[in-house]
Amino acid sequence: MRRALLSLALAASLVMAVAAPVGAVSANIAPATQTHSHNVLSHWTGSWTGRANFDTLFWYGDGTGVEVVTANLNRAYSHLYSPCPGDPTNYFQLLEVYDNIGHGSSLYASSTSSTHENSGTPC
Amino acid sequence: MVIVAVLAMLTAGIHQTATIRVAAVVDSHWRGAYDILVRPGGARLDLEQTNGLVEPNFVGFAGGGGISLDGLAAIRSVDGVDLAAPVGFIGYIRDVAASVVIEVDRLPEKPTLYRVSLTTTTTDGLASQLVQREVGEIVLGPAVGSDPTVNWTTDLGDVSANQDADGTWIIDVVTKRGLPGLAIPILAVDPVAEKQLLPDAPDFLDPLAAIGTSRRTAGTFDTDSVDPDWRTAFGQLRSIQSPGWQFGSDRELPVIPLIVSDRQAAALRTDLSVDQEGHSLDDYPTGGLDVVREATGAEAAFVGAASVDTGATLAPLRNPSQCVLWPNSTRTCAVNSFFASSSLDGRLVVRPTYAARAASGPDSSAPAYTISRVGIVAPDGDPTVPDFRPADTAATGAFAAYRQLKSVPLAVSRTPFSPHANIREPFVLAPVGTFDATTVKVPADPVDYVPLGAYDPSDTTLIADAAGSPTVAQAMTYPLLPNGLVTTPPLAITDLAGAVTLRGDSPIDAVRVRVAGVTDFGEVSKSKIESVATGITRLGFDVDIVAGSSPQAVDLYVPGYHVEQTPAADLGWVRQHWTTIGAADRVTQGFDSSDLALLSMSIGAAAVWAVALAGLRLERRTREAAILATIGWSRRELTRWFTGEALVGALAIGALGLVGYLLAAGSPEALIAAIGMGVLWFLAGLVAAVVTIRHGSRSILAGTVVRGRLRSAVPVRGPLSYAARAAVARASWVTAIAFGLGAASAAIAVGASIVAGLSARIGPTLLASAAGAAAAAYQPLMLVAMGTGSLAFVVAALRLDRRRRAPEALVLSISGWSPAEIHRMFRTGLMLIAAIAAVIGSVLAWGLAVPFGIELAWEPTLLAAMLALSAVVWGAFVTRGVVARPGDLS
Repeated sequence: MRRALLSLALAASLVMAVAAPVGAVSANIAPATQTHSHNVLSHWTGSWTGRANFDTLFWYGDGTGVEVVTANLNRAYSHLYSPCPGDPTNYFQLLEVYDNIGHGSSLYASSTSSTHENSGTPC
Repeated sequence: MVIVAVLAMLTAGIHQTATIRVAAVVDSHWRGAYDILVRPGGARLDLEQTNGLVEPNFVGFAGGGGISLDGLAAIRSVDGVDLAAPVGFIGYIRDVAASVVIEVDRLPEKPTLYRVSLTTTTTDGLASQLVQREVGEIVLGPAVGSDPTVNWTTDLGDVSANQDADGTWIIDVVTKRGLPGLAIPILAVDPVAEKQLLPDAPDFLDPLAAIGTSRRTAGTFDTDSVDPDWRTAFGQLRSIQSPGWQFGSDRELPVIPLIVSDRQAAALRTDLSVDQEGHSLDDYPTGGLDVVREATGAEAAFVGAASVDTGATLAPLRNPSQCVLWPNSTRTCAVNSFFASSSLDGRLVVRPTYAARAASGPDSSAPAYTISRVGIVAPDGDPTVPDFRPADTAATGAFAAYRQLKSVPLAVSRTPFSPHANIREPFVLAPVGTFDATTVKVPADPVDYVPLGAYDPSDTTLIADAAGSPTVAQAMTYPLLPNGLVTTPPLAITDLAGAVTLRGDSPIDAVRVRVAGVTDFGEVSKSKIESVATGITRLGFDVDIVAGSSPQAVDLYVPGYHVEQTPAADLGWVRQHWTTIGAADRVTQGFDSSDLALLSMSIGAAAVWAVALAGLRLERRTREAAILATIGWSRRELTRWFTGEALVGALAIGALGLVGYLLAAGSPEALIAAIGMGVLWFLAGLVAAVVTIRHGSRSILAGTVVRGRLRSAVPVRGPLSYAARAAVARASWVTAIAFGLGAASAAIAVGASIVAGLSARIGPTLLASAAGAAAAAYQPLMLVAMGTGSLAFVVAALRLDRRRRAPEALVLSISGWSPAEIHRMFRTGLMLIAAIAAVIGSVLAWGLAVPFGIELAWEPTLLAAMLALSAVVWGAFVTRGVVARPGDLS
């Protein structure tokens, strides 16, 4: 009887393990903040955890972004903000990671960072 | 007598059957999805320049709203309204496909300079059209140092590099010149009402209907209802709702739920072509591209080409796959796209200007207009000038615009807001479902069409070149432009709450109203529709009754289309289908008027025959009256006899009509026609009796054969003069036959013109074509019935006349006339009758042409004369066997 109950519990555990969503559980942007002059490339490294493949969106904060489908757990991003806004400007980056089809809380993760761009040449 | 009655009933019966068939077609097709189009007061489209015709997808340029939700409720409360489906045009989403990404996964062993050409094109269905072209150079080679990107110099854009798990470097070049924004038209509807309006109640609007009006802010909106394939929109909501989101006020932003098309209506394709410049180098030179080029030399060698067809995957608000792999690469792009936030333009298009002109060619009867070009624009619809020269490194395509874009700022844009992170507008667009904008079902049978104002197919076909010479028909496709030649269908649809957010309190441009209790195209139905229309008019709205509308072909001359040429060349003629308001009325009235005209002709011809028959009997009756008077009959007795005979004939005709009416299950026209014939028969008999009695009692002698004023003036010198004297002597016979022949000729000629002109009477619409096809045989049948009756009467009269003159022919033969002379005498008499009939027929046809609406009166006039004159030929033939039959002398 005990063996039967154990078998049943094991089977139930296996079923639950298989049925449970496995996806991105975290996302991160490094560095979290940076400051530089205008007309200088900004660099970030996005990283995430979960099970491949991942659909990642990196928003640069100026309305543009890049969507990458990858099996890697990290990716380098670089971006040149243009045109020069004239005044020092804060751009807020957003990294979104979808695991598989990415529809559900456990399959979606995001992270933010900020970039302060001082006025500089040619502003 | 029998012929007269049967013919009248036959034509009336055919008319009745034709009317039923046409009514059946019209009843089954006249009513489209709705009956009344309601617009804000003063906002009615100016259709005078196109004679009441309206082009497809007109809601797109209705614009500006004007009806509030309260106004919609008032319309719905009007007694008799079954369905009121509102529609409003919001404007255009500027959907930015951003930049093309070139992905390189195979690096050369030595530093090498490449020349890269990147060309994005669309198509109008006729030819490829340039959207954008970029030309640049890039140096690629082995990865060296901690940041190898510094050596991969390019003027194409930004370079980023990542190593794959197996150590392969993946280089992405994001081209610096973003693609032009695509204009996505967005419509607002009540999804529940719209579903009822569209054929087969499609379910693509259900997700929009399920959203409801609560939880419409970014902080409360149910993200599970958002389609995750639309990554950027989904991410906007998810990030705003995430606990760490640093912009708390974003949670109050309104959410605009949308059903979006799962494909862009226009095609888009990018082609990459790569050439190696000069030879490879051993090391990376220090300096820019000029230094590299100097080191490698300029001799070009083709490396390869690649392309990406975004037409299949490009959808509004969805990141497009604009990544092109380096030639000969076998992997798939890691970068799905380099995207940009969409923004909503407060722009509307204005209806084009059309000028009426001559038709496209001799074969076309379609209305023809010239559409005015309003300028040259870039692929996003903004004004531009063609600026591409072969030496340029980048160029944007130019297109001809035929509609003005006017700016109508969004209500929501008045909200103070600073773009940040991935939130660029003071609202969030949320795709909650998809549909295929290019295949939304409009009425399955095109004759059921009423102007929905949206969802219409591109329906533009090139049919002739600029010189008017017909070309192989080529269908044109939806353009990228919002203001191009072809109007685009809505590619995104929101609900009325979304419309109020974006456009303010009166976002509705039009309301499509279906009236309750309407079943057919009868007067009761029309009355119901008019009653509801009146009720809505009293609310202060403009109203058009569109029930009974039908599309028809319209030809447009398109000037200045090929702007890549200098000066811009004309496209030529295209054909579209526009809507005629009130086509059903024209169809039924056209059929009714031509049927009644034919019926009138038949009855008129029969009436002439009745009188002619009375005339034919006149001479015989005169002799009979003379004999009876000689033996002592009084005038009263003679009158009673003749009147009684006419009355019996009239009653017989009436009885035949009644029997026919009962057997044919009720054709009131047939009964009326038969009774009319009976009355006419009686009156003709009465008149003949009076004339007969007056003559018979005076000077007519029994057996008189030849008399008249020509007796002394024209002596008999041969067959011709004898024929003339004989005609004068038999004036009543000749007159009766000539009138009968003339009336028959006129009836057939005018009837033929009416049948031939039917298409002009019922109009060129598809409804008219369907009704015409259903009743196609009936009017020719009426014409055949009338023609057969006419022929039968004339043949009978001619044979009777010849038979009556058979003794005369025998006497002439005995007197020494040869058969040829006798034949010539009869032929001359026939020619005389035909000539008189030709004059009578021509006059009758000319006189009838105008009241029966025949534009070219000379056609039936000439035809009537020719038909009457043709009796000379067939008249001789049908009377040949009657000549000189032995025994006729007795």
